[in-house]
Amino acid sequence: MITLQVNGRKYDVDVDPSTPLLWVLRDTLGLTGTKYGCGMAQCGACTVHLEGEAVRSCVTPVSRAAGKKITTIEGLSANLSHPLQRAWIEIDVPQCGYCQSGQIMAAAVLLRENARPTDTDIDDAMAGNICRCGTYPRIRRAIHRAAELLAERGRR
Amino acid sequence: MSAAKVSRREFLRSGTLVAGGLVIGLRLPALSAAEEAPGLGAGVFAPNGFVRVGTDEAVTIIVNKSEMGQGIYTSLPMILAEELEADWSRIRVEAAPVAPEYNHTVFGIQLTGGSTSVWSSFDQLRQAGAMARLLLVAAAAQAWGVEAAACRAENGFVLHSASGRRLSYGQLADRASTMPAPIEVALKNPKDFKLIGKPMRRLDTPAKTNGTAVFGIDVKRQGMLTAVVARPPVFGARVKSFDARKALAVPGVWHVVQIDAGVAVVADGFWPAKRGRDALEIVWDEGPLAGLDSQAQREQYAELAQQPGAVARREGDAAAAMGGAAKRLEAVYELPYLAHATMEPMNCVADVRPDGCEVWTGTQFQTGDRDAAAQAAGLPPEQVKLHTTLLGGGFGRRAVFDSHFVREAVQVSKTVKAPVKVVWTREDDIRGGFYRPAC
Repeated sequence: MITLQVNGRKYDVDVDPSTPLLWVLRDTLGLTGTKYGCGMAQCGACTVHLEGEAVRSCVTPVSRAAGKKITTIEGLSANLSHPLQRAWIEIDVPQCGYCQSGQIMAAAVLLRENARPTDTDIDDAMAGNICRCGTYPRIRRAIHRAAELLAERGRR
Repeated sequence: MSAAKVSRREFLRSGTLVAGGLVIGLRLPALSAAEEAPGLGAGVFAPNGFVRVGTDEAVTIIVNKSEMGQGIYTSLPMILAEELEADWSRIRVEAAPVAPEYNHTVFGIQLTGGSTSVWSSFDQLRQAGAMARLLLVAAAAQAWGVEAAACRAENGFVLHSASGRRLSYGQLADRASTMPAPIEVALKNPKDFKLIGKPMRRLDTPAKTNGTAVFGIDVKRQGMLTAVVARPPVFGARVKSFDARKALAVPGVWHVVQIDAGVAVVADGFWPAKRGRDALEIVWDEGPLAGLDSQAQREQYAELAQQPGAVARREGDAAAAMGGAAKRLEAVYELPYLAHATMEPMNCVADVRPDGCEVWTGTQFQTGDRDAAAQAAGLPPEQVKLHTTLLGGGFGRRAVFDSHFVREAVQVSKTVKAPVKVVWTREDDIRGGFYRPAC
């Protein structure tokens, strides 16, 4: 039995310890917001936070996540209030939407580490997240917008 | 605009113009049997297959095109809501079931592709919205005992200016359900459009930013198993024999079954299914394409390109003009076979029972997939219910003439007698999926 802490909730799961965290989230816990894209850490669709760091859940054995804090897209906010979600909606970033959970989770770590990223900072930090629809220009704008929203929140 | 042309033809036929709007003969399909079935009781006004108005003020627009990133779950509702004079904040979207009235107005089958959705649905959805509006206005006029012509619709209400009275669409839903269907309707004058031609936020964005959007791969059913299929290493290869022992030894693996596409490993979830699939030992009969060689194929295509081809259009004397040209440019263009690489790997959920089959998948081709599912299940098409989910990209990969990704899920579910989700790995699709044609 492995104990997981996902989005502030505890779960005991009975799975093979080598199972990638992605499939425990999706198939065992039913948290399908985290997506399967490639299974080999090449596309970023499965990005979640492990102790606040962005990890590719498709290549992270669940044993590595045992006892640690995991945040998925479902846990980012209860009501779409996270600055990234607000910016994503304001700028209408997604098209098909399949990669966007991973994009948002990757962007959240970027903004925590760099409150005012430049275009280059964004492109570098987001290079591991692929979007087949090509929403990159809007992702960039939305990250800038989220940085503004965060700054406003900080001033208040 | 092609839509305007059709409207004019309709106008010429009915020959009336009133109140600045175009009056057209109504050519809308009636409510389908599929739509009438569940959840439609009292409290819902459903004048045609494309819109329902509830007494709770919800306006549900039924979209017969697949949302794969192009925004069709917003643009088609805009067209209908425009004529309905609906309150945009009340709009909800529902995927259409498979039924003839949801066929593409030009192609005659239920399909999304070719950048055809908006223009081919434009007139139809305007009519659907206008018809609903007309009935709501008629209901209000009846309730107030006034002429319908003295009433107007605006932002989810019918208003009677002379008396200052107004009733919401929700309040009118029950009465509107009892009004006789009109034979013709008046369409709005395009200069009065409030939604069409205006930039609007997509309706599906919030669900795509908090993990609640449901793609085919996210569908959950009670008792559902997951299958990963070993498909041939060569197109056209067949299974000669296989040894399932190592696959069955993987914890969580329940079944190993042979289907037309290859050998399916069925498990509690994707991970054990994939581990089981990787542990399979299969002997393939590689068939006549085993010797296929990319270089030889390329040379063959280059040679074929030298032969005279089909003439699409002939104008002037191209050969003479080329012969007399001062400068001639020659170039060779080649396109390889390419995997479409939809961001969401291919998948399909099927639940086959003796008396019916349900399918959940992100598809661009509902008619073909429904029929393929029926054939694979051994059931008449009427007993197949296909649910269209969101698509994590389409690009034509999800509009395939043989519906193979649906067939295999139906075959596995039928064999193991449980709901089954077949998931392709990324490698499965790149290595042996349905490619874009080379040329």
